[in-house]
Parts: sequence; structure tokens; C-alpha cells
Amino acid sequence: MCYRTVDARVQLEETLHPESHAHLRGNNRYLREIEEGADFTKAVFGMIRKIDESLLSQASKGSRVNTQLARFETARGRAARELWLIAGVMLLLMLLSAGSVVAQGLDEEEGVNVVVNAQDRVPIAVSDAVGKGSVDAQIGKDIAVILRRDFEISGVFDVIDPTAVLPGLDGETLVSTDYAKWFSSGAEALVKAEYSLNGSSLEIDFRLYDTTKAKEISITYEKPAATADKFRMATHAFANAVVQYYTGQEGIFGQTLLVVRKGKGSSHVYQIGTDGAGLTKVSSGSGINLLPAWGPGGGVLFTSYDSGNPDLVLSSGSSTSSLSGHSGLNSGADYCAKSGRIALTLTKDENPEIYTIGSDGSGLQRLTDNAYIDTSPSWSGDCSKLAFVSNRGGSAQIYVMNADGSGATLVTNVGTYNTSPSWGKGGKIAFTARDEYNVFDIFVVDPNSGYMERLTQDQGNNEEPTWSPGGGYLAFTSTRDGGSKLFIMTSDGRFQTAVTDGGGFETPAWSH
Amino acid sequence: MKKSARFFSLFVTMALAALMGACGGPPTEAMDAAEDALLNAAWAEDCAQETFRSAKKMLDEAKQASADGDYDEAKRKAEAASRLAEQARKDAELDREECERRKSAMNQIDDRLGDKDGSPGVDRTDVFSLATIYFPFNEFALSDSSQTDLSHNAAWLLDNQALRIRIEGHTDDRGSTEYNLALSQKRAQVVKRYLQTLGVDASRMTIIPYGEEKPASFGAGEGDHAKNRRAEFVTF
Repeated sequence: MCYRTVDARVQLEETLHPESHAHLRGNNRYLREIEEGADFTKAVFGMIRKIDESLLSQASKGSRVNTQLARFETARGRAARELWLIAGVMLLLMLLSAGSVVAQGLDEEEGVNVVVNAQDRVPIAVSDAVGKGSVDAQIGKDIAVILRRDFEISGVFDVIDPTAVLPGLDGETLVSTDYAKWFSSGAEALVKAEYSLNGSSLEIDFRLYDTTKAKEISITYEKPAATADKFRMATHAFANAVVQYYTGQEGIFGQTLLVVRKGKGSSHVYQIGTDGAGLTKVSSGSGINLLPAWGPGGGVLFTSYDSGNPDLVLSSGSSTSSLSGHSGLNSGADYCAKSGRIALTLTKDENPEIYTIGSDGSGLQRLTDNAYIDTSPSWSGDCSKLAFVSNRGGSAQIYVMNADGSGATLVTNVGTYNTSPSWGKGGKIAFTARDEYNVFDIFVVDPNSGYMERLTQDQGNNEEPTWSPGGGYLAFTSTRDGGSKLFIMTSDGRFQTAVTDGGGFETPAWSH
Repeated sequence: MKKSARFFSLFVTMALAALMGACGGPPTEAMDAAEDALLNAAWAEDCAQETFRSAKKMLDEAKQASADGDYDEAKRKAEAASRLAEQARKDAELDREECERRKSAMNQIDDRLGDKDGSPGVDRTDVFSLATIYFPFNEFALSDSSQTDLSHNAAWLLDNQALRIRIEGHTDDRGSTEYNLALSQKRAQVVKRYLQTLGVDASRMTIIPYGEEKPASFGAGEGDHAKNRRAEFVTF
């Protein structure tokens, strides 16, 4: 038993990140305890505590506190994940070698929930959809392209192409599946589709197979109607159902983001799908249009300089009306549907202050009143509080306050430039921080505990985060491969995917 | 005249330094190096004004310390003066084009102020443009040189009472779009308030914040950023 366990430890240690590896080597006592059959939980906690202490002492010694703390968070998270993995595998090996049978009942029939931040993505293969009756090969290819893109962005799957190695798999029908071949090609999940055209209406039959269990997984979901021209939403709905099956969490496909695209001398507000498709201009004119947010009645709120002054306007259908036109800034609106209030920044009395107004622009209420900058309000999910940015303490930091402006408290206390808060459904506030190397990265903070996690690092500037409605994902802009592209990442930051090919994108806004 | 005075004092200092060097005590080499560094940076005085002034002050303190016989202190301060002068030169070099522009604007103002009678028939609005005010990253406080610029702007505005101005606040394109809007508002606001204290009527001035939306320079270098962090004036 001991031999096998040690062997497994060596193998697992080889897969560790060097930083965690070093800490593990320095804490061999705990590993011995595990090998000798000591209480797993106690031993693993002991190791994590040890790593915490050593990293914290490093952080407090260093002058670059911001980065040290961020590294600490990253290393701690990684170490904890890896340690639990080790402990889990060791436990399993010990139980197996001791001959215990505990596996019974672990294999549930349907709906095995793997969390989004699982160690590895599920390898998935997507066949081109096949036509039944009249055939339009382009439709078959397009359906598969949409699915593959969704699965990539979801962060749950590793989209593979086994047909490059085993071309024969291409010829399969919808229902006859050679599980052994698919499985040996590396695919653990398989998606097939068959479409039939009736005039302009399009019927798509999607199927999900689990090759590890050699069976079809039946998933139920609401199917949007499709036509020969419009089948993207129907395809997204199936992708969402597959994501839901594997994670138990929302699928984000078919949702629409608002974003600004900047040209030389003008900026415009656009809508764009979560898969990067359907970029559509919302603002008109040749001027500056900024900081969009979803508004009342599904309209789009943004700040427009069309009148010569930065006014808050609401674009709904084909009409655009002014909601707030005070002299000076009327900017950065955030609408909370539950209370019907819009929070925004006004400079009507010169200093930037936060106010709220009703969904028709009436009922102005002032929330902040001091000589400093107060801006970027973001509602909490229940509309009872707002996160915002203020430099009242000497540098730009994230604060929270009640909806009436009372009880303002500091949330961030590291660094000197923390901006662009977005308060997510799960209660955490995402924001942009500028570190001491003048690089911008995305962090999340729990406003109650102050616990902070860094989500992006060493990949260009990453800014302006916005939460998905369900809190499972964040959209943001990144300069990691030139331009300023729109990205989507899982809420733990582990999987990050570019959504747009082109650059010039700024301040994305997902719906609340 | 100013220049010749500077050279004269330099000459005297060098001569003194040479004499003292003969005694073996004072840090002659370090003082000479500092004088050289200041001379090298002299062209940048208008652009990196604060740093250059600090360098000058530091050298004066070094001289004082040397005169007091505190040679270690004198050496330390002379070396610091060298570093500051070098920094001033580098800062100005980063943005040489802007520096030259500002120098010529300063010369214009100097010329006009020197010629108090004014030349009949010359319309001042043709010659004078309101100086743009520049700011460091994420700041909206006025530097000494900005205050000087604003006093010239105010003097001109007081001479031209019929004109109104719009103060446009701007930032560079780094950081939060929304915070930059607020920051550009603060920049325009402090400029307006300062002009007010210099006697310009508030009713003649309006403010518009543009944040990072209207850069003066489209590049991404520090020189471009420096040009974009500004408050500009439009007369109407």
C-alpha cells in the first residue's frame, strides 16, 4: 500500500506548479503523515496553513504589497486545489488497496454535476450536422461551428476534432454511434445533429452522447423556432443545455452584451452576442457615445455628446430620448430593475457626485456630497446597495454604500488605483486594479470579508469587468493579443477566451 | 542678461571650487559634475521646471554645506543635484516637441511683457493663444508651471473681457473610461477655479469633460500620454 501511495505522490508532484512544489518539498512532514494514514483533512489543512504563513510573511516583508498579495492569493488557491487533488487520489488508492468498496452509488444515472472550475475540461467532439431530405451542407457546417465556439467559450469543454485522425467517424448517422472508436479518439462527450428543411422552417434534432458510459444522454430544454436563415438561437439553446448538464450552471449563449467600439474621433455603442456574433450598432450620429447599460424595458442607456453636452439617453426600438440632461456629465448609468432606479454620475454642481433617478428620469436623489471624485456606481443584486469608486481617501478605491447614500465603507485597501466595479449576483464585486508595474488587471473582492482574488495576470491590460446575469462568467476587455478585444472568462478566471477578432472594444455591459 | 548672470555665478563657483579643491576638503569633483549636469539640462528648464528647480536648490545647499565645512553632506547633496538635473533633462527629452512649443510660447509672452507699450495695430488675439495646462497621471492638482501659465492666461482674459471660454478637460487613455471622465472634469474644474481666483468672472467660463475620448496625440508612448493629460481652452 505504502509503495503505491508514494508512487502516486511522485507522479502527482510532477504535475504540480513549481511554486506549490517548492512549498510541498518544504513540508514533507505532512506528506509523511498522509502516507502513514493520519487524518487527511487535518494534514491537508496543516499544509495549507503552512503555505499561507510562509507566503504572508513574504508579502509583509516586501514593499510591492499589491503583487505579493495577489501572488499569495493565486498560489494559495492553486496549492489548495492541488493538495485536495492529491489527498483525494491518495484516499482512493488506499481504499482500493485495502479492498474497501465505497464506489457504489457514486455513479448517478443522470445529471452528474461537475463544477465549472473542474481541474480539466471535458474533451468534446462535435460532428457536422447531417441533412435529412433536402440537404444544405452549409447549414450543417454552420450549426457545428456555432456549437464548437460555444463549447470553447464556456470553459467547460476542450473541443477536439477526432475525425482528423479517424475519418470514418464522419459517416455515422445520428443514432448509430461507435462509442469505442469515439472514446479511443479522446472524446468523452459527443454531439451530433440532424436537420430537416420544410420550406423555410428548419427542424434540428440535437443529440448528446457520453462515450465513457457508451450511452446517449437525454437532456430536455426549451427549443426556440428556427428557419433556414436563423438557427443560431436554437443552436445556442442546445449548447446551454449541454453546459447546464455538465455544470449545473447557466449557459450564457444567446445572451447579448453591450459594448463601445472606439474609432479615431468617434465612439459608438453596439450590441454583440456572447459568441461574438451579431455586432449591431445602437447609437447614431458621428459623435462620442459611451458607457452603455441595459435600461428599463430592455432599452439601452448610454452617455451621448450629440447635444454638445454629455447627456444620458435611452435608446429603445428606433427612438432615442434624453433621460438626464444636466449641464456637465450625465454618465455611467446602472439600472436596477427590482427598484426601477438608475444610478449615475452628475457634475451639475461641478464636482462628480453619484445620484439616482427613476426609470423615466424623474425623482433625482443625491447620494454623495464631498469635494472628491465619486463615480462608477454599480447596484447589488437586490438594489439595496451600490459599489462605487471614490478618491476620498487619497487614491481611487472601491467603496459600497446604501441605496440612499448612507453607510459608505471602503472595500479595497491594496494599491492606489481600483476602478470599474461590477457587483455580481453571487455577491462579489469585480473591478480593475492598476498594479505598481502600471499594468491593469481584474480582481474580485467579497465586500463583507474583504477577501480578494486576482483573475488575470501577465497578459496585457485587462479591464472593465462585467458579470454574467447568473454570476458564472465575466466579460472584460484585454490587450493580450493586440487591440482591445472583448473576452469572456469563467468566474474563477481559469478559462479565458477572446470573443471578438477585432480590437477597439471598451466597457462591456452584461444584463443585471 | 539672465544668462550672463548664470554664467558668471558658475564661473565664480568653479573658481571657488578649484581653490577649495587645493585645500583637499570640499567635494570639488562632485560639485563640478553637478554644475555640468545643470548646464546640460538648462534647455529643459521650462519643461521639467520642478525637477530642474529642485536640482538648482540642491546644488545651492551643497555649496552652503561645503562653505560650512560639512564636506560629506556637500558631496551627498552635489550628487543628488546631478541626479535631479539628469532627471529633468530626461523628462524634457521624452517630450521634446512639446517642450519646444512651450518655450516658444513662453518667449512670446516674455516678448510681449517686455514690450509694455504694445505695438499699435497688432491684434493680440492673433499672437496669443491660451496655454494648455498639463497634468501628471491620475492627478488634477496644478503644478507651479501650470499656475504661471494660468496667470498669463488670466491676464489675457482680463484684457479681452468680451470673450468667453470653454475649458475642456482630458485624460490619457489608460485606466477606467468612467473614472477618466470624472478626472477630466476635476482638471477643468481646478483650472476654472484658479482663473476665478485671478479675477476672471465665473460667468465667462464653462466646463466640458471629455475623459480619454479626444486625445491630442494618438500614440501610446509616455510622450503621447503626457500630451493628452490636459485642460484646453476654446474661446467664443
